[in-house]
Amino acid sequence: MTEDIDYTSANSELQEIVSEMENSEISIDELDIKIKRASELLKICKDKLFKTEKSVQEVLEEIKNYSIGEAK
Amino acid sequence: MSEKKIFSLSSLTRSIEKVINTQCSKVVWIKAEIVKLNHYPKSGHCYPTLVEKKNGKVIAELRGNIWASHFETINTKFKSVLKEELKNDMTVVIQGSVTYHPVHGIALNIIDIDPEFTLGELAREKAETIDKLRAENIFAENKKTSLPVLPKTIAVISVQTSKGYQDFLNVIEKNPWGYQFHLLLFPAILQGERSIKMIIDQLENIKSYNKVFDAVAIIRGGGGEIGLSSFDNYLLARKIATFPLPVLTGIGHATNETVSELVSYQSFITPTKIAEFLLQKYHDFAMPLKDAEQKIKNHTTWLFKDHKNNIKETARLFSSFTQRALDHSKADLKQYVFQLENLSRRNFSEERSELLQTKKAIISLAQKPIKEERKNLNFAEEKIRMLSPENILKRGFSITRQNGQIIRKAEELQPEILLETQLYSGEIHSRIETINKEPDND
Repeated sequence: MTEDIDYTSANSELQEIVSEMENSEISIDELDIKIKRASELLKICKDKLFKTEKSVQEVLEEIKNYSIGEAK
Repeated sequence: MSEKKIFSLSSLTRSIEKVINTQCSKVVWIKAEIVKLNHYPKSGHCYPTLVEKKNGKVIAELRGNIWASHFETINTKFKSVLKEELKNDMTVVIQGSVTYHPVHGIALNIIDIDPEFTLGELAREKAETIDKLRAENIFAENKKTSLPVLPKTIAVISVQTSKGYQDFLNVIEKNPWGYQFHLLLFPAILQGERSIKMIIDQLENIKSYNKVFDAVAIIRGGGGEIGLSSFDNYLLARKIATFPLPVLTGIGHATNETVSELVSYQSFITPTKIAEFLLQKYHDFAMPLKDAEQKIKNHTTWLFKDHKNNIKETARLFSSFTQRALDHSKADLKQYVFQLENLSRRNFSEERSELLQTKKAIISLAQKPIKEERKNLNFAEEKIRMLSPENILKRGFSITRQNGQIIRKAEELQPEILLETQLYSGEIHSRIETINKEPDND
């Protein structure tokens, strides 16, 4: 299940679920659903983070290779 | 009545002839005025009317005879002494005798006339004319008129065919400088008694056009020196003296000037001299003009030269200034290039170091939020894992339901209904013994 949600929204929803769970505001019945949702969100965030990191690494690699030397 | 004695006319005239010839035949000198000369050129004889006047009235009159042979002699003498021919209105001293002719009557037979007396008489008349003009204060009147600087338009009183007029024309028309005059001839006889009226009439004629003319020239010449006494005439001299235009005279003679000449604006010995005078006037005007022309030419040439030099000098200066300005500009430009190079080099190196720093910053900072996020995610994952019901059940907790409903509190329990307890592994179905509704803890 791939959802079109950005990292920030996903992360804040995740944090909400965590805080709800911490405060025991979720019934056992709901818990199952929430956990599943949290797991989903976690996956999305991880994926996005991974992709971003990869992309950033690439760009940084590129930047490292920029020679800021004297122009010919 | 006594018997009349009748004589024939011829016997009477014979008697008169006899008396006159015996009593009056003496040759005597008589002073008289010739009123009319009555000269008959064909026969050469003269029959002058002689009078004596007193206060303008004739008090005696006698006819005279001058036979051709005598007239010739007398006239020659007059011409040589008086420069005049015998003419009307001359007072003369006559030598002659009274004669009587039965047909022609009484007459004075003139054998000689003394020119010396008449000469004196003419001189006296001339002096009288001068005195009269002076007394009237008009003697120098014509000299006060003004002759224009260029007397171009001249009224000429002369005789078309006379030598004097031709001389005048020759000099004027053949002047080598090409000076142009406008001449208009007013014909008049210029010698003898009749000339007086004719000249006066023509002057009157000219006067009515005095705005047109610059001057009048009375020109005579070639007529010898005879018959000039008319120019001493009071009326003519007066007319000339009071004429509004300058009157130039060229009468042409070698003797004393006549009154007309004395009162004229200027008199000349010959017509040629008048012409030369007029040309001289043109000359006087033309010469300074020519000089001025030359001066203008010289000055202009000089001016051009001066200006040319100035321009040349300016051009030279301009070129040297331009070179200098160019050199300055070139030096300035070089300086600018140098400065520009320096500044840009500096700018580049500053920018480069800033970029390097930025690069380092980006590299170090870019990875930080990702790491942090990962930490957070891991943390959240851990929490979720910890809080999952599976884990809770694993730790020894269990879930109690009645009819599928989760039981959180004792009062929710229905005592008769079977309890369903879910463990980490397996389920228990049990019956309620007692229900303690007091809350132990919260």
